Formats: sequence, structure tokens, C-alpha cells
Amino acid sequence: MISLRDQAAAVAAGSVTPADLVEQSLSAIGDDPFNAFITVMADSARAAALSDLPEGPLRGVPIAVKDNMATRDAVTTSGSPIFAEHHPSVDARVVQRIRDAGAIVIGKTNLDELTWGGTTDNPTFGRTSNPWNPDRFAAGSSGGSAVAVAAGYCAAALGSDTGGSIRLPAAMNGIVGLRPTWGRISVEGVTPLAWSMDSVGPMASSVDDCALLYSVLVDDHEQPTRQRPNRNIRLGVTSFFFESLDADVAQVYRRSLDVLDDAEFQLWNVDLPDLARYIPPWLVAHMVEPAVQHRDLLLTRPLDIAPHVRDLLALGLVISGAELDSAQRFRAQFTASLTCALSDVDVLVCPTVPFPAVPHGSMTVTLQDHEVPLFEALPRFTGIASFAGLPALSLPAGESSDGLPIGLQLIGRPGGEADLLSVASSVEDVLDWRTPQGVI
Amino acid sequence: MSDPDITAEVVARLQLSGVDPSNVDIGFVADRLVELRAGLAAVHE
Repeated sequence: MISLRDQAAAVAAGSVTPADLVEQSLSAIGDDPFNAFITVMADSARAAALSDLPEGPLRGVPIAVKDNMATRDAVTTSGSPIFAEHHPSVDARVVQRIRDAGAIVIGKTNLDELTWGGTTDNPTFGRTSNPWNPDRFAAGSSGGSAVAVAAGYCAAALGSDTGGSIRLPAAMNGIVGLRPTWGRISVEGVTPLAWSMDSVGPMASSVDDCALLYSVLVDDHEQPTRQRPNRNIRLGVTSFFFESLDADVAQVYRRSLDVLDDAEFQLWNVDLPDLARYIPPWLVAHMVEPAVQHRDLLLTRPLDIAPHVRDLLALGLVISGAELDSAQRFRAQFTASLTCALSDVDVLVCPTVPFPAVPHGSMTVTLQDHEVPLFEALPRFTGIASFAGLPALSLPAGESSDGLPIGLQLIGRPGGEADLLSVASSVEDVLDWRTPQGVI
Repeated sequence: MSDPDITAEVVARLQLSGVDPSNVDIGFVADRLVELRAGLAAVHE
């Protein structure tokens, strides 16, 4: 499958029609062997392809949408049996934006129940498998969107990210995913998880395609930043980024830094002592907000919520106001120290995930001889930007010894998506490791 | 084995919130609560 930008250009040039692209996409999806979709919108996509599509930058291009985003022409389940028959009357703002740009929604992608999780192993709609190795998980919660791109079903997808739900599956499936600055993209019509961290963003097979989709999502039309010489780009690293890593991830991370150093990027050591302590306060906020959001469901439909989600919501309800206040005090200090560090460097660079994709059903992962619960290890690095509201992007940097993709995360300045995408493009050029389209 | 005091606190708080504790894995919630409290305490030491 060709890139998002090339698909749009081909439609604009008349060398391919929207109907051709929709048929290609539906043919690639077939019977959806990786269970990327909850709903494949074949009929509405075919109808849209033959309609008078808006003359926008995505005219005629099929795009997948995570199933926590309202669509007026398809059920929006949020991954929950409670919403299995929920038919919104209007599109989420981001869905409206891509449709206004001429895109065709090809389907609604699988996710963790109520987006509360990081595995896309959904008790109601099934588990999504990793196209690099179907015995491995896809990560989540935007796992269906990541797999739709990695498997070559479509060139781009929309995901949402609270604690890493765009970046985690992007890394595990060898694609690019951008979590924009909190508040930058409208979340109207997107089922909330944690209001102070929820963010919607693009997922695609290259930084350029992510930038194109991002430009359609954002309200203020920020001008793309021109790529700078590498010697003018400062990449920040700190000791925390080298700790508790799987051996293959450590090797890819160190090699990536060496390659970037050789390409004249400036590597800067930054002092961020708060990183070693941020996870408990972040988790406190990440527990309380979903519990408040979904409290009514917990009271009225408890047995329609998966047990593991029910337990997490219950945990959020028993955390006290004083404990939340303690976490938020730390958060203010944490955000300030990160923002201060980012005044000295353009981006912070770390692994996206400390390990490659694990087998389905894994509850723990072994890192440097320590067995760690999966739900703690998975967001170790993605929670940083989530807690501080910063933009962050994951791009492929290499593969493990058994051929699974490994991602590199770049964390940018607040509101600095244009800079972040520009730096990411330079890093992508130098690392030169891109997922072949449709890894199947 | 979860701390019985914490377990009792979890049950009481859930009941105050209107949640039926029998629908929840109280041991899991109690253990995670202890971990989070320890982490919070370390932050402010």
C-alpha cells in the first residue's frame, strides 16, 4: 500500500479513484485475520467513495477510526458491551474533520474495554493480534488502529492516548504515532477515560503521513517547521531512560543514539530526578479520573464491565481526596521540571516501551532479571508525557532478535508539534528503519 | 495476603460510594492501594 500522501495525490491527479482505494482497502482487510476492526464499514465506505466528496487534502483516502470516537453511520462501542448498540447521531469532532478533508472512514477499530488498558485484548470483541507475530499482543488501547496500518489495511488511522494508547501500539507494531499536546485536538465525541490526559492523534507508517493527518485534525493551522541541520538539534537523554530495559530494547536504544550522534545530532544529558518517582502519583490520577467518569456504570451495570476494568475503577473510587491532592502537587512540580528541561533541548529521546511485544495473555514481563507486572512496565516511558500534558511521538527504530519492532519515543515542548514532527522526520531519515507496508 | 485493615477500609469506601464490594476483587484493590500509598509517601519524603 502506498503512503497516505501519495494516495491523496493519486486521487487528486485522477490516476486512481476513491472507489479503487476503498476496494483495495476492503480486499486487504478480507476476513480481518488480526481482528483489527470491530466494524468494517464496507457499505458506507463504498457509498462515500461514489459520492461528491469534499475537495480536501485527504480526498478519497480510506482511514480507520478507533471505536471510542462517535460516528453517525456506525455503532460506537467504546469496546464495551454496554455500548454495543450505541448509534451516535453526530460524528466526533475529529471524525468530522477528516471527513471534511475528504477522507472515507473504512471502519471502527478494536480497543481495550472503555479504553482502560494497554493490550487490546477485549473480552467482548476479541483480542487484536500483532501482524509481526500473531502470537504476540498488539498493545493498546489503540491496538486495532495500529494493526490496521501495520497490516496494510489503510495508510492511516485515528487513535486516542491517555497513558500511551497511541504510542504503545505504534511501537509494538512498527509504525509512527503522535500524541499531541493535551487540549490541542478536540476530544468532543470521544468517550473519555481520564479527562486531564486524554488526547487524540494520528497513526501512520511514516512521520510525513502523521504530519499530514495531524494538519487536518488541528484547529489552528500551524505552519510546518522546516527541517534544520542535525547539528542544530539537541536531543535530551537521562539515566532513567537506560534503566529496566529488555536487552534488545537497550541495544536498539543505544545503537540509535550512536547513529544519531554520528549524524551530528547533539546529545545532551539532562537532569530529571523526578522521573524516578513519577509513576505512583501518575497512576493515582490515572485511577481516579476514569473512576469518576464511569462511576454510574460501576453502580448500575457492574456485571457488564469486565472484571479487571471493574477492579481498576473500584481502585480509583477508594483513593482519597488527600491522596489525589498529593499526586497533583507532585504533578505540578513534575510538569515544571520537564518543561524547564525542554528549554535546553528540542526533544527528550527514550525507548517507547521497555520490551518488545509479549505473548497474548502475559501478566508480567522480566526486565533485567526482575519480574514486573505488565501494566506497570508497559507505560513506564509513555506516562511521562501523559502526566505532563506534553506532545510525544513514537517511531520505529529497529527490531528485536526475534524480529519484533522496537520504538523510539520523542517528547516535545508543549504546543510544539510542528517542531516535534520536524525533528522526528530528521531522526527517521537517519535511523532509516521503516515498516514495510503490510507486514503480512 | 492483603492487610486486613486496608481490606476493611476498601470495603467501607466502596460501600460509601454505593458499589457492591462483592463485585470487586478486594484483595487486588487493597494491594494496589498499598503500593500507591507507598509510592506517594516516597515522593514527599
